Amino acid sequence: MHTGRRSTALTATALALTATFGAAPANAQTGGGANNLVQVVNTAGGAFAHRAGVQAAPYGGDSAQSTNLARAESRDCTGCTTHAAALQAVFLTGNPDTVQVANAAVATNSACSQCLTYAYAFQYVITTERAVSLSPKGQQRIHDIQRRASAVVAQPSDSLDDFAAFDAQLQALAAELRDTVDSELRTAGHAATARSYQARESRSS
Amino acid sequence: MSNEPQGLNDAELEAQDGEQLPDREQMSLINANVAAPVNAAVAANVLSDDAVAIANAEQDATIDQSN
Repeated sequence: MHTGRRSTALTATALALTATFGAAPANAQTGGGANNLVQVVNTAGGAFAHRAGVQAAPYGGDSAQSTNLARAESRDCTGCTTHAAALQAVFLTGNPDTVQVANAAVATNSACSQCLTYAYAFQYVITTERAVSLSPKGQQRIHDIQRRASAVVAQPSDSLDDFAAFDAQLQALAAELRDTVDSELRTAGHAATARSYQARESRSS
Repeated sequence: MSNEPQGLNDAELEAQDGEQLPDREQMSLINANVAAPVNAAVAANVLSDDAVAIANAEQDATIDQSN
């Protein structure tokens, strides 16, 4: 009974977060900015599903509401493995009045036995004094990071050690994404610094 | 002995201090800038046996605003 209450609470929390972040495109109508939504739902027994998305985008409006979401869900199956990774860099160029950016990683197993589910999200947000766009070289580096992020989550996993390795590899790519954007901004005559926020959660049953 | 409150005498009144309110226009100025980055990681196992869920979210945000 206690477990049932806990499960219900977890379900409600996960659904609320998923609904909140998943609804970002609709909310973005009142604000603006790119959204990077990577969602993988795996319902096939024993299957392996994975996806990664990398985005670097400017926003020059008054109300920035960019969302970066990595959502992996294994549902109604046995032995499923699901990986999702989302990496996003947003540079705000219009001195916006409102900045309500969101970054979330959501990993859920629902009615799923012996399932492994992993989600990683990284968001880099900086403000600049004037419009900046990525050079062809910068765009090429972003594409290369995308390719390697996809390769990371395409690796099979069967233990927590594998997830720790994914974290390390994706954090390295996140640092590379940040460096790429910083380098582009320096080239355009801007300096960039950032504060860091981290949230991490793991559940085993 | 009376329990009724006593008023201030002249010396006490003189000792009271106050400060002039600013102009109404200044009082109505509101800084409307909002900077509210959200970062969250959620991992959940619901009705799932021998299952593992890992979520990791990291955010770097520098938001400079001015009116």
